[in-house]
Amino acid sequence: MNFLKLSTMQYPLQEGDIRLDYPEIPEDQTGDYFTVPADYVSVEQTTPPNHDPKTQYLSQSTPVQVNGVWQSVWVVNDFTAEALAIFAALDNPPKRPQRPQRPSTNVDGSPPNVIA
Amino acid sequence: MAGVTVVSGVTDPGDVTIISGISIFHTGVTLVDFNGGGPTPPTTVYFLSRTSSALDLQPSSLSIDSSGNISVFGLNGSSGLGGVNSGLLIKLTPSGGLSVSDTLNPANGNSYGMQDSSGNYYITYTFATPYCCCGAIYYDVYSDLIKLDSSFNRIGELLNTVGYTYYPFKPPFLDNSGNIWTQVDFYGDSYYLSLIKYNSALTSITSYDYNVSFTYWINTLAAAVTSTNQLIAAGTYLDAAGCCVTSAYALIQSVPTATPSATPTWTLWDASGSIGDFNAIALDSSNNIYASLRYYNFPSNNWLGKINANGTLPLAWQRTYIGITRILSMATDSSDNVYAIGLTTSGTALAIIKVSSSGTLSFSRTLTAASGSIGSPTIKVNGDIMYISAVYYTAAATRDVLVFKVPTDGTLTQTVSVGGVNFTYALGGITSSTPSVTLSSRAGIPFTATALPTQVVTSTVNSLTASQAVTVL
Repeated sequence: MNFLKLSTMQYPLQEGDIRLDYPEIPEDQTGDYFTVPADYVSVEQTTPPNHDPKTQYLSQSTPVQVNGVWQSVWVVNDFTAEALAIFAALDNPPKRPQRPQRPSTNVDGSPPNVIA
Repeated sequence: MAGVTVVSGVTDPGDVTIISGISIFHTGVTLVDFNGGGPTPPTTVYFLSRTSSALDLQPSSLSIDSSGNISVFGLNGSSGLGGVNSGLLIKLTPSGGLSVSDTLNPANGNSYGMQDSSGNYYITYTFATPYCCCGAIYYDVYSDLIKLDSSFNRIGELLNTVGYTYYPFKPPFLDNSGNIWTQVDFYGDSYYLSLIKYNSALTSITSYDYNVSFTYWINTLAAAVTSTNQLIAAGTYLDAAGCCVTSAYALIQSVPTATPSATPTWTLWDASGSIGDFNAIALDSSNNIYASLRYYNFPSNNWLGKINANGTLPLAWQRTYIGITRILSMATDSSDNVYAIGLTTSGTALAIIKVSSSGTLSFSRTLTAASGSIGSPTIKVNGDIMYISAVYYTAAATRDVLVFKVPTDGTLTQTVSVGGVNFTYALGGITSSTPSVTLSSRAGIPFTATALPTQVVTSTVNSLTASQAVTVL
């Protein structure tokens, strides 16, 4: 669940953020049982819009109130060229040079002498 | 500047210790240590350490010992196979002061490390030796595992003498019998990911993988050991035809560490072959598994799910997070909260989330640099503190170490200046939603065990100590 702080319109906030202001909320009141303080409201998540996840990403702007219910507002953004380059490097690490097959021992049968 | 301590190591050629071709010497790393200098007194809850030298430092992993000292592992140098880089080991006091900075040399790439409960270090890295063939220069690339005690005395080392190309890509981990496990890229005749098991005496190495002529194989991207000594291996099951992979199935399985090539105890996969691959996992105190997927069609390219310890379905819960594009590392605390760290949508900042064992997002934070980029994060949790190491860079060959220590309750948000750069740890702006990934059970896929030829490195014990390694200015 994501929350909006009405006094500042700060969004998104989560339970842990609210507990910093209200440490008296019992730890076992969590998830569906979390008591939302009066100056916060929970935000209903609307259906994400279609987008191309390879070149675009979604974010959320300040929620809006529709028929008394606070709802999320989606924004479709383009990844920057820098971001795309970083993600491509993460997902496709450079292939190292292949090597021709070579015996795993020296001519005399000893292990390769990689440590002098 | 209040709260700033400048500590400098020195490069002293006279202290270089040559041990059978491997030298351990000081790096000359200079750390700028911010310890409690921020506006959030009275607790010293965070610091940033960043080198100001012209070295090219790439932290890959970190560990926290029982006294709260922080050790950062990685690589110094950006040479390719023809050059010589150094494995990096920096030890920080709990308050962020530089204790020791050493290098393991030569290391041509991919250096990772961890500590056991006694403070011993296990560091795995690669180095290469050239040879000529057919008028060209090629390299034999060897993976090495070195064991140091907490004072950096070398107490064991074992070399994998298969002159193929084994590159570690994750930190080592231990099973409950004292065996050491590493994860490696294998670039022999083709490419796949293997698990490597070293016995505790460091006298034997066995690889575990599944590869049927590169028509069917498993890439293990993440692995861990449960308290019941089960190996959890997660990654991708791949089908290929001719040149190309035709299907990739996210797959995770559990097998006893004592018999890794036996039929797995349980195996789960995505039978649709469409959701990406598991790339990070963390275990809680009941051996439940938090697994992240790297995936491209969710709203935010990530997925986090909780898998029951015995592999039974359905999943306890699953989430995706708007604002994170990759989850790269995870950890849990003693209350079974899970902490996941990844990249923001900019690709140049870190996103951190805390999620309860029941799937409730507790908070999200971002760590952003006013200039330059932050990447390659690793997260650990010890008590009520989370520790993060990452690479800070403005250019490819001038990377620096960033270490960040912050309370797990989310109480800290702050901007600090380090080396003239503002780093901001702030509310993350991340939201969660519930996707609908379906995993199913399938027949287990036994790993193939292959004993690898080895060379035990026996040499004079290095006696480098902390007091020798650091000069405080």
